Amino acid sequence: MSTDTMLTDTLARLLTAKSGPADVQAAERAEGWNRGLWHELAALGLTDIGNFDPDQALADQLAILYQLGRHAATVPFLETVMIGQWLAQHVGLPAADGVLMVSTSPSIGMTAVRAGASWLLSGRTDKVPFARIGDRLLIVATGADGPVIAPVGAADCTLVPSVNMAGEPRDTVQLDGVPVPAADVHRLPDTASQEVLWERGALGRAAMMAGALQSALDLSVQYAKDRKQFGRPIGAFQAVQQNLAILAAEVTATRAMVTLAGRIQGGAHQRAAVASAKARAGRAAGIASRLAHQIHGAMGFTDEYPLQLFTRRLWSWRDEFGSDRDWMVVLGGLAARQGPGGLWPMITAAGDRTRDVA
Amino acid sequence: MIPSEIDQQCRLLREEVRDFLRHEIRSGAITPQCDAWLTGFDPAFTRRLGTRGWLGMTWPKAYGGHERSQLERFVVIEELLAAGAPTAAHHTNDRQVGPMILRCGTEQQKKTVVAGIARGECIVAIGLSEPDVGSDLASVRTRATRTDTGWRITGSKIWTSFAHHAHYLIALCRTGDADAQRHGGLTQFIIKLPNPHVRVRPIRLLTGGHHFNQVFLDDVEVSDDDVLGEVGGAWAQISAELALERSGPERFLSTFPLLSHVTGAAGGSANDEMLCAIGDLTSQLWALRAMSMDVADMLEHGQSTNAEAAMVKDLGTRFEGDVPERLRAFIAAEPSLSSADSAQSLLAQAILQSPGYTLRGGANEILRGIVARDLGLR
Repeated sequence: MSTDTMLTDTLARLLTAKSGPADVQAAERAEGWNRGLWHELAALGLTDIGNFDPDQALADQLAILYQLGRHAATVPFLETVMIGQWLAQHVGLPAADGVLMVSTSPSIGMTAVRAGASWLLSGRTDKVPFARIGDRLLIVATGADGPVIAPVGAADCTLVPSVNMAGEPRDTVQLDGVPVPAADVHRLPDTASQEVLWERGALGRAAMMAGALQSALDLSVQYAKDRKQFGRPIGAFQAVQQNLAILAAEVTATRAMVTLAGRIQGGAHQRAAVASAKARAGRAAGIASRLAHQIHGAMGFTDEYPLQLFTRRLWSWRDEFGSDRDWMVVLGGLAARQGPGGLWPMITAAGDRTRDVA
Repeated sequence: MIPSEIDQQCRLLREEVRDFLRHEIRSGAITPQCDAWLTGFDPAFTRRLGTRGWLGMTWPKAYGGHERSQLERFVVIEELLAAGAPTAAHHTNDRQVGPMILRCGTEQQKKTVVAGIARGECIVAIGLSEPDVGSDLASVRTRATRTDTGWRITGSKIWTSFAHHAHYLIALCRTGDADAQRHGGLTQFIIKLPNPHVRVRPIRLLTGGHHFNQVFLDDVEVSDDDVLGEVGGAWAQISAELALERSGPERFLSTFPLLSHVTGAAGGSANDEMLCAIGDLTSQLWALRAMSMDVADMLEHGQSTNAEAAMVKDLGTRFEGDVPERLRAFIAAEPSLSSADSAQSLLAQAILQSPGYTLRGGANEILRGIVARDLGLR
């Protein structure tokens, strides 16, 4: 998803070494994340948004997310860099080291009330990714004059641990009148509204899903070549070949749509393109997971075989940052709003230049 | 040229085509239809496109072409398809026949047939399949035998589109023994029509429409000048065009006029169920267009795209059939070809043409075999 092959090659080597199936399972059973990998990514400079060329940042970040998804890497890159640090940069909060989480959700569950030189934050937000490992949380809350963003230290939050179907932390964050100095509280601008943050999350998750889909396909192809039944590899049977071809098409379609959506961010139809990418990835997740498991037979249903690391993520990620259905309704609404004859111009508005081949 | 100039040039061309189509529709000259690239046979419309320079766009000027880029051609083709314009009188000629003759035809064939297609005045029927051949093209039995003055052709072709309107028939014939791959010994001939030894029998579609024919070739005499390309080399000539044939926008836009109409009419009144269906279909379409453009881009860079093209067609043609199946729930009245209501007639067209989507240009099951080969499974 990027023309920067040096970055992706380096990253692919690191992930092969540090995010193999055993590492992913160990992360799930221990702290809920791959701490060692995060430090390696930090050493490469990849966990600091300041190191990204602003003109290339989104494309590079989507390329990284694709690789992370491909290796089921349990690290909060999307949450910390593409959402948290981006938001902090956007509203002028000082940069800080460590893992930064944002309490994104489709509806704001927190309130901020002014009390002298501070704001008091209260309320709860469910399913905040990796909240338990965050050093700081950026809390999105409803203030008297609209949404605000306020940084809160991890120690001030009450967390109720929870996980998604892949065992990744998705914790409930509760605040009960936590004071934040007024100087640190910022209005949430329209350019970084709750809706925009949700879009960034959806696009990033879709890129991770494209990577996980590729791995589900790769594993399935390899298994079909290796596993012998009735005296020949199961991949020699046309029925299995047909399923693998359908699986491959779902993977290719998702990747093409995610790449396109990344390329046209900033344009008039950027929200529609994100909706299309997340919806397409969600559709592919269901079809591809079913086919990959069918091809693998009982082996793919086991804990020890790595297919489940990808399919459990696909089943989880398709509902995160808006489900495929949610985004289909959004996209349908945006399409209908174009009026008679307006759908085709929306789809072609992205420009006619063929894209860079990933 | 730098990319932004290409962008700008394509944008202007796209607007030009849209203005033209708006005028054609508003004046009643054409009516948007589903699957109009197959069923919308309108030679007058084709000639109007020829006059505008929108046929044979990438071909050399010496043979009536316009020497424009593949990207500009892509713009024109997809605008015509999205509008449901009647392009059946030239679509496959512009896509396949012209490029094939330009690549392997004689000077004379290029000057007459290719230039005629570019003007929108020449219709060529393609005789590939035969009774009992289906997707297994290597098993054709129509035979061309040597005579003192050229060749004599005997056999029969089936599913030959518009042979009853055509000025020429390109016939795939066996001229020698098949090799181990079964691909050798095949030759293509260009037969001028009408010809007293060529008989055309209509095969009506389930709508009653006349598109297909069976063509009987009874001792048709042709000369060596009528050979297209190499004697024995037809397999390679045909295969070279297949990737383009499979991945083009006609493999996912055949029922777009229905989706466009329903979406445009939905407005603010649509409920979430309907918006969800529209969004689902739109997302699939958008991804398909991105895939199709990727294939076009790879072809321009000389990369092999057999598997990618096959995936576009497999996904795209299933999508074409899904459009009426999903949207019928939101169209109040029963589908009818004779209805004056656009939604009802577009829905009827999309349903009645649907058996063809996943068959033409190679049945989807065969295409998945191509993908499986690319994955290393066969």
